[in-house]
Amino acid sequence: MARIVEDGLARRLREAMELRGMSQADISKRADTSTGAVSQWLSGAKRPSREKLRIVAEILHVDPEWLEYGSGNGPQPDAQKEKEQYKRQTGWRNRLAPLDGGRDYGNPIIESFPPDLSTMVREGIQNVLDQTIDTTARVVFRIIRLRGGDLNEFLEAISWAELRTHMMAASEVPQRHGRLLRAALDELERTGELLLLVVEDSGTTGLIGDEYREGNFMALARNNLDSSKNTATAGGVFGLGKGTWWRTSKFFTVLFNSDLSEPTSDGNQDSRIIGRCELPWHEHQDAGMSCAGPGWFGRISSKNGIEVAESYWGNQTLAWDLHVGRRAVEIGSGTSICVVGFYDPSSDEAKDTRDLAEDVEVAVADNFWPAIADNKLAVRVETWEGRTVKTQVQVDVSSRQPQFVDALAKLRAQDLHDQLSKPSFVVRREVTVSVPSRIASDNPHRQFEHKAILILRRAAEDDDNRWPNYLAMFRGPRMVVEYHNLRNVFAGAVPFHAILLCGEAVSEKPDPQATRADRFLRTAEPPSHNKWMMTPDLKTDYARGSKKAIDDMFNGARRIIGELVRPPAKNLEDGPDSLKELLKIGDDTPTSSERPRIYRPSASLDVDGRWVVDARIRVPPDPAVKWKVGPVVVFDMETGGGYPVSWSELEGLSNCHPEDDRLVIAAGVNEARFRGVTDAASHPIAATEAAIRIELRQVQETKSR
Amino acid sequence: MSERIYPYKTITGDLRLDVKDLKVDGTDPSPDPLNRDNLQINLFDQERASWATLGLKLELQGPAEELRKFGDDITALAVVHCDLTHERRAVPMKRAGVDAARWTAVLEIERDDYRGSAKLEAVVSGPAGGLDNRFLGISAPWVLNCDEPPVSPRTGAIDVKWVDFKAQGAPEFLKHYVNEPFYSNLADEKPVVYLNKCKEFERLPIILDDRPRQRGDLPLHNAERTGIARSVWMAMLNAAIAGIQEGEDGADPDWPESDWQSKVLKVLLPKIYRNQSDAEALKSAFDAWESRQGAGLLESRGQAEINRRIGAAKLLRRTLDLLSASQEGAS
Repeated sequence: MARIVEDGLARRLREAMELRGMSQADISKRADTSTGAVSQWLSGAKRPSREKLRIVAEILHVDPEWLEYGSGNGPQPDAQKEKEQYKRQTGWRNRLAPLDGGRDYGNPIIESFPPDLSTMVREGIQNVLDQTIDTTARVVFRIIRLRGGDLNEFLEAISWAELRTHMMAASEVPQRHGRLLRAALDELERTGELLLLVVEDSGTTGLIGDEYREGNFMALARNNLDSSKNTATAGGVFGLGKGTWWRTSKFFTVLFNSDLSEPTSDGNQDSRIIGRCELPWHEHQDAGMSCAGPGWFGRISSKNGIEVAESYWGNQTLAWDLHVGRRAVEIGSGTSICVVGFYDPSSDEAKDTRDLAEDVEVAVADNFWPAIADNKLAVRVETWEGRTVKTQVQVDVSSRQPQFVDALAKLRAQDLHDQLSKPSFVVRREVTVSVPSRIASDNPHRQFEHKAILILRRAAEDDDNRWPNYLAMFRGPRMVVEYHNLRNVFAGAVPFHAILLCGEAVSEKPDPQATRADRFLRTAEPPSHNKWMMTPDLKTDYARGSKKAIDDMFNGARRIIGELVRPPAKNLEDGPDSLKELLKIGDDTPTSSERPRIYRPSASLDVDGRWVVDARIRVPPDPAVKWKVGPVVVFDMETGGGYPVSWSELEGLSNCHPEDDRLVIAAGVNEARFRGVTDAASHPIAATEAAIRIELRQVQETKSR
Repeated sequence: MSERIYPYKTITGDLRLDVKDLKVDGTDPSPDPLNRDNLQINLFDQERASWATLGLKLELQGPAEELRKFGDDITALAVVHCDLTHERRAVPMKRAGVDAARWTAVLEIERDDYRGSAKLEAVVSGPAGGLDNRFLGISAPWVLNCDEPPVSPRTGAIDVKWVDFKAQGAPEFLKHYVNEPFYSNLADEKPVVYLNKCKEFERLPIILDDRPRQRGDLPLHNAERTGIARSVWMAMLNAAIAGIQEGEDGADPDWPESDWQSKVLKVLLPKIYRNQSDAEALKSAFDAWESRQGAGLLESRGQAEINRRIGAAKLLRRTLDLLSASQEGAS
């Protein structure tokens, strides 16, 4: 994991470049140095020489002392001018409530998907891949904590005072979104802290399209249920995925800054800024009007006699102040999305930036390892404190998903074997998909057979396997549609990882048949794109046989996998295989995922020689199941099974509470956290003399239905 | 097994133990017994009939940056330990002068001191919490298989052999059971099921072997193999429970020393005692075995789980379907 800590010079250099609208290439050219050197100055890895510093300061119209120490004249004059401009010209305008008196207490699109970070990452990157124009799409996730002056600067830029009056009014509405808003406003007031998630993509089209015409801009910033996908095989198709951005904002507010790959009809192309909040219906007392809910941030204009907020173009100071600047590093066209008040809605525990970054990194690796391994996507995850970068991690799928990535690499390198005779061997087979005739008016075709590629990699018995005996499936966009559990494909099977590549994923240069197969499978995906199944669209767009085609594909893959992972008969000696089959005592399926387990335990000794434990409990999430568990500290000795000791204190820190020396974990959560202090009198020896383990005992499951 | 936490700072990075060279009685072994993927040294199928000494050149590599923080007083030991013979040999490893994160050692072991399998690992120790020579870290263990493992590493199954119980070369204990179709020997380190192919049971292979089955003999084949498997599993479960080691002075019980017995319990106990941790399930089984009523309940649940494991119900349903179909055909 690469971690760098930025120094002041790097931060000020970036700020001055942002404000002057200059790229690394601009600086390197004018300062007669390499872009690599400029990149190192910006990352804090190296500092420029005094002479170079003087030249760079001259280029940026700042004092060298300001760059070096922060004293003297910085880039205020231009920035100040732009700041005054945007303060005069920008603001929020909300849609008026309809005349028929109907009220929306929240946008249902926001609630369309599971409220978790994995879904947000899937939907967000899927949209990026759909709009990619380069060979590799690049995405940076920045989790930024704002406090003090940084927070004030941001709130001022977003016209918070104005937005807050709407939020206060909306928080009075006694519905769910109103209550959530109230809690978020109170928290901001109490903590003086705000988290932002900025997702910056590049190598993509950006929010192209005119202000009020069809295009990416309207689809994302204004419309609902508009997917605006322009290819047959794009990942998204329902236009629901964007709702996940607002779902992960405590204030239901998201900002966009986009550099377009092509200009709008009126010639604008650079730094298109627009914001959108998805508030519930509310009555705005000050303005004396009822608002439908959604509101937009941008340049205030007039349309048909009504004031509206439209895209605000080319103000780099506003982009910088909103943390969506795209000028410090040359990244080309694309969009920076800022989720205001970012959080993980699936957890009722406030996660720190490091935990959120880790969750994002895992979600990226789990869902997009094929795209990253095939160099179609590169993702970096960063954490920031205000304007200072704290950590940077390039998502490395070869360490996060080593077995799947190795299998795919061996397929691409044709490093294949006929059988899974040894760990890490990879075999390739084909699975037939009988794509039915397409009867829709666009792109009709006859029934044909598509050859999907099935690859299997034999896992070593002691591999640290995240998805043992699972089949990962994907098509052209290279997002894993589903991990299919095949633990029971064959009793005593050799451990394996399997991949099914379908549609356009079968080849670097897919033929028309592959594209049609890709479209067929895309049509077989529900809005969350997380499985292949019979859908209403398949029924209307394709002739009969869609369900059978999908079932046959799965059954074909299962059959082939079963044949390959079955232990060969020749390995069974002497006695009958059919009897040995019933006498296997090794290789049993682990049961750890079926019951709660301790996760990330930490413990230290206090001055009284007691262990103070802080640990999380991972729980199989089920809204109908409540768990009761007994965490136990066991003194681990050289021999024997260990000595369990008693608690003197036990308390729930999140999602759980103590009851009869055990913890009750609320239904539906996937994680709980507790703290406990051992009773020194129950220790068999002094705590300084032995290691401990933390286990869960007396686990009790209660189903509510 | 959950992660261990020490009352002082330990090494969190990888300690990798590698076997750089291996000699059997001073010569290169054949076939190559090293399986680096699974960290195994398999000496049971050497071409030579027997061997006396095994020489190992070992290298331990640790996380350099992290080790530097522990100072110069840390040491490494290569340790080989056999559960069955209780033989434990440890040799100090020599720290490389130029690379403070690398140690080497030469370890020689005598065949006569080992049975079954042994565990080979490297332990790093040093001053911590005001005391010298405290445990700081351990490598992933290698398994040294001197004898054939009780469970096939390829199939996960115990051994099943056809033997004429009356034949002269047959094991002596089988001669007491010449009238039985099978005998499971669980008394030795390696469990074996013997199927009797003496004259009285010469047709037993017809219903048990792996030939393609017709509708007519499939029910009988399934019934017989299910019956044998159920009986062997119950015997294995009982032997394994008896092998649980009682904890002393309030400590939890420990797994049986025998590898196959541990495996049997690790397969069945999580199913018998659902929602209990491994340590809890082991204690529940031990306590149940000690009490009259508990033993009955344990046997009942064990039997149910064994039936589930061998798919007895599914095989029976299939048998009933076949019988029903053949009856309908006849009428």
